[in-house]
Amino acid sequence: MWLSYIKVAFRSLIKQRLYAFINIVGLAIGVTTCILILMFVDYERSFDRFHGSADNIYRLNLEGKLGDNEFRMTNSAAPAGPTMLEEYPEVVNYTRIRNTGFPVLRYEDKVFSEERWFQADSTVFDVFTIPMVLGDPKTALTQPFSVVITERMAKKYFGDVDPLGKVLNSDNRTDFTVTGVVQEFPDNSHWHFDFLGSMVSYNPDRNANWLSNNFQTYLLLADGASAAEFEAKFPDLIKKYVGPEVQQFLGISFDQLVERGDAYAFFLTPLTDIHLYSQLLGEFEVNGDGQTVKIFGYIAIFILLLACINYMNLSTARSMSRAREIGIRKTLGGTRRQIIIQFLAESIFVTFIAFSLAIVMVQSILPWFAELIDTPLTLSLSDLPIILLWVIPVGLLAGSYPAFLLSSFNPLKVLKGNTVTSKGGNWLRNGLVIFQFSVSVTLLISTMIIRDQLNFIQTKDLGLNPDNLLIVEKTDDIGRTIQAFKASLRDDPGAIIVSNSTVIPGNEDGVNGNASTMVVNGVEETRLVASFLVDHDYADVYELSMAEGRFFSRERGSDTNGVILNQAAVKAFGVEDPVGKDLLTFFRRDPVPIEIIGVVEDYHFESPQNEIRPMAMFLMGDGTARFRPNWGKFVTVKYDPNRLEGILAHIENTWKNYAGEQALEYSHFDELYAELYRTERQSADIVLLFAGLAIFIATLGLLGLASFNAEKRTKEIGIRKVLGASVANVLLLLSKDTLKLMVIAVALAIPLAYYAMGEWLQNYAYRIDMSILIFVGASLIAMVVAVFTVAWQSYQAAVANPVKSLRYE
Amino acid sequence: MIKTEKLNKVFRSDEVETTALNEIDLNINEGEFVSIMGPSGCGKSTLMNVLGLLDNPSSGKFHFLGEEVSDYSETQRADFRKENIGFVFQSFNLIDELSVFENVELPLLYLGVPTAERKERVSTMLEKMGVGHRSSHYPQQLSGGQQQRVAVSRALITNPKIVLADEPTGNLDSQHGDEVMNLLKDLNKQGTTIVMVTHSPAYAAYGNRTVNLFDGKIADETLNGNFHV
Repeated sequence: MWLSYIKVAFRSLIKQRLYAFINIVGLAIGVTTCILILMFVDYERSFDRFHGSADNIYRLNLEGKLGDNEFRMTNSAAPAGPTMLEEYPEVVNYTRIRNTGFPVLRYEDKVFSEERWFQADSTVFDVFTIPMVLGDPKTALTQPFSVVITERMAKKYFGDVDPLGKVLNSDNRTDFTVTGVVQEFPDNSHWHFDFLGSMVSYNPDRNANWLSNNFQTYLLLADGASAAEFEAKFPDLIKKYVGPEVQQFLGISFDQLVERGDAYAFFLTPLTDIHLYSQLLGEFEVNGDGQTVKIFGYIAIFILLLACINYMNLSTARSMSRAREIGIRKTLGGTRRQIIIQFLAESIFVTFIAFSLAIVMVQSILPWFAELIDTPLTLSLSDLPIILLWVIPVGLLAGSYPAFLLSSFNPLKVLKGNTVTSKGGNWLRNGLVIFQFSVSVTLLISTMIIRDQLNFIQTKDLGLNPDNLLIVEKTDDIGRTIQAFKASLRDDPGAIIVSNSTVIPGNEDGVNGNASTMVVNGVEETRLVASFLVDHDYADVYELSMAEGRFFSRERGSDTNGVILNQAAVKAFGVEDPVGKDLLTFFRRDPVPIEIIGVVEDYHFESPQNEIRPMAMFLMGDGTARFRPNWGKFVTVKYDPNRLEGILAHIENTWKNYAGEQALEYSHFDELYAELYRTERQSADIVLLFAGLAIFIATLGLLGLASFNAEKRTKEIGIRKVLGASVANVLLLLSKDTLKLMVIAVALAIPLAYYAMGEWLQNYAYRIDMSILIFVGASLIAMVVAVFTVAWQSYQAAVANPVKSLRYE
Repeated sequence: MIKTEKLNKVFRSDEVETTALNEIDLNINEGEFVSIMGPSGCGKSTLMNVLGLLDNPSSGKFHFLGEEVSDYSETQRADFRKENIGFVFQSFNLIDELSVFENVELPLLYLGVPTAERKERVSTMLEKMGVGHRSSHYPQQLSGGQQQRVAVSRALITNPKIVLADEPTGNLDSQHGDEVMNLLKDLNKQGTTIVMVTHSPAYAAYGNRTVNLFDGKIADETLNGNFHV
């Protein structure tokens, strides 16, 4: 019996090639898309789950409010971990990680500038799962100046020689002995290190105060401990330990701090939630976006649904041609149940072909897709059974409606050749087409708005001039001779301005956040102010404008004790005529008064997607001022675009003279800036891809339906033509219905897209108004595609010789 | 074999009520060949559908092989049909996607007959009907007469108690029509009960009794000369 079902299914597919093609290819594309998206979703959700205790690890975070400044950050104070371990039975262990900068490491003649060097407590091996290849995890990080390195680094510095006991020199200052070699974290980890230096090398107690938050603290909770109940104990802890320091530094009690509307609190993030759901200041790496992953998940389901709808639609539309067969089967004794099973089996068979095709398609486009979304995805043989397991539910979903509809046919009527398409069936088919196009138009509008928003951010006035700027990176490695380096760079006529700073616009690493105080109208106001160090040429090189006062000047030695605020800071403090007033800021333990010498107009010193925060610029110490000498990580060179090649060669030579073996790393500022939007651009590309696929699938379905309708109306068209209808009349007749459906689809899609994109735009501090042109444009595109599809089929019917169609009947 | 008493079939739409069968009392005995005649719309096909258990009567009694079948459910009717009734249609109603062999095999599949026996019975039947050499062909590849032979083969493959033929010659030229009628006559000679609807008085005369319907009622019945039983 089954063989007979499959045989009939196969032969009817062969007989109706166009429908079969539309069904199978449509379904295969839907399934392919669905598999690709779900692979991505699965990957994003797999982050940090490779740790044995992943479910019990939490990161301690800090949130608070000082005046108008709210902050939420990954950092916490040095004593937090040890104190919690001692005082709370829920905490089984803790480890602190500290990002201590970007050292230049030397071993014999090898010199490399490294970016993934962290300090960690020796307990890092107890909290996290870090397989050790060489050395003993119990002792590897217990001694000062020991370092554990990854296998890749072992190879890089020591080749095939045993790295244990070898000494790595850091920044020509400190020697670290290699005490262990570990496997690297997999890609799906929220942080990656190449080197873990022992925390004791830096004596974290030096940072013993509770208000200085420079560590990432990870807590290992006991099995069964409730994170929520544990979090409820934090307020008491804060009052006990943070309270006295608030009293000491701000001169008010913690209760007073809370009373005046400020806040200071700890909270936990589960390790496995960090990648998708944590967007705090100080994340180790750019995290994923749970919202995007969720949206992609929905899109996957929708696209699969669209493809299934094609199947339902075409199968029921074709029911005419199968009706006679069903009538015969029923007359010969086939029960309704047998007919249902037959059509479900047929649907599963078609689904199986589509899935097989989809697996081949996934395999062939996966490398391209993985690159597009910048995610290492691979399809392994072990995934296949899981994928194929889905053939049955998808086949049942797609086949259920046709099976129940077809099996309900009255054999009497169908054998007499009566029409079996009911009004209800038409409505349902139309409803499904409307649904398909609504989804397609919604996706299309969304894509356009996302692109618009990205364009907007990329071209909006940043408050600075990003053109013709070269960034030489890691110039802090040059050390004390940086002034001479800058001077040498200026020797080339192509170098117009050269500036050194700890931070460049758009790069948030190195932006500090300090609580600063100002006396405004006799009252001390404390705000969190972002700060970094610049030299005298910083405003010139980026073409920043001054709102009040002046920028740092070489002529005035006293400027080393001056500060430039941005307008956001002035507004945050609510101070009038700030120039000449003092800002109290905490550089070490004591607040230091620094004179405000100027106010710079707001510009995007961080990512242009973020609102401009209050910010203060200090002058980089040259060793003579009261601040410790500091050398900025970046040298920015404003160049003459006509002399770019010359200046590049000059920078290379100069670098060699000052930095020796260390490789020169430079980039064009505008490219660095563009990099900030890579994720958004990728998301936009992906949504565009999905929108295109959705429209393609919906169009395939419409094509099938149109050809069916034209076929069904062959006789009507013949009669109309005999009575004098022109080809145009017939075209209009056949396209009119589709156009009606499209209008309804668009009417549904527009409010949906408007709402969804409105929500999405809320993520951006600076956003576009949604243009009506986008809604109109997307709707027109969908309608034109739909009408052309139908017209093509209708045209065939319209130009056919009416005599033929009538005789055929 | 078949006995109906005051059998009615009424079709209702929103506004119109049509009485297709009106108080039909009909007896068909085993081994009979009954022809049903009448003008278009007189209820011939409705009667065939009810007799074939494709449709339930609106009221009245309907005994089939001693069972009261008038209120059977769809499933019960399907079961009864596949065991007892063979159908031959004017338009042959062969499934285009199945070969001649597979078309004839289909009722046996629904009856759950084992494979080997199925093959045997189908081959024998096709040979007997003179289309054995066409068994791997598809319906479209056959002439009308050949298609109707296949349809008759399919109707007979389950050894039904009765064959219902609804204008079996309607789509055939006279030569092929005669062929099919001779086939039915032979079957009847071998003992198969046959009920046939036809427009042709000549073909009606192949049966031993002709029932004339008019406006849903039996107008008259005539016995034909060639009575064989």
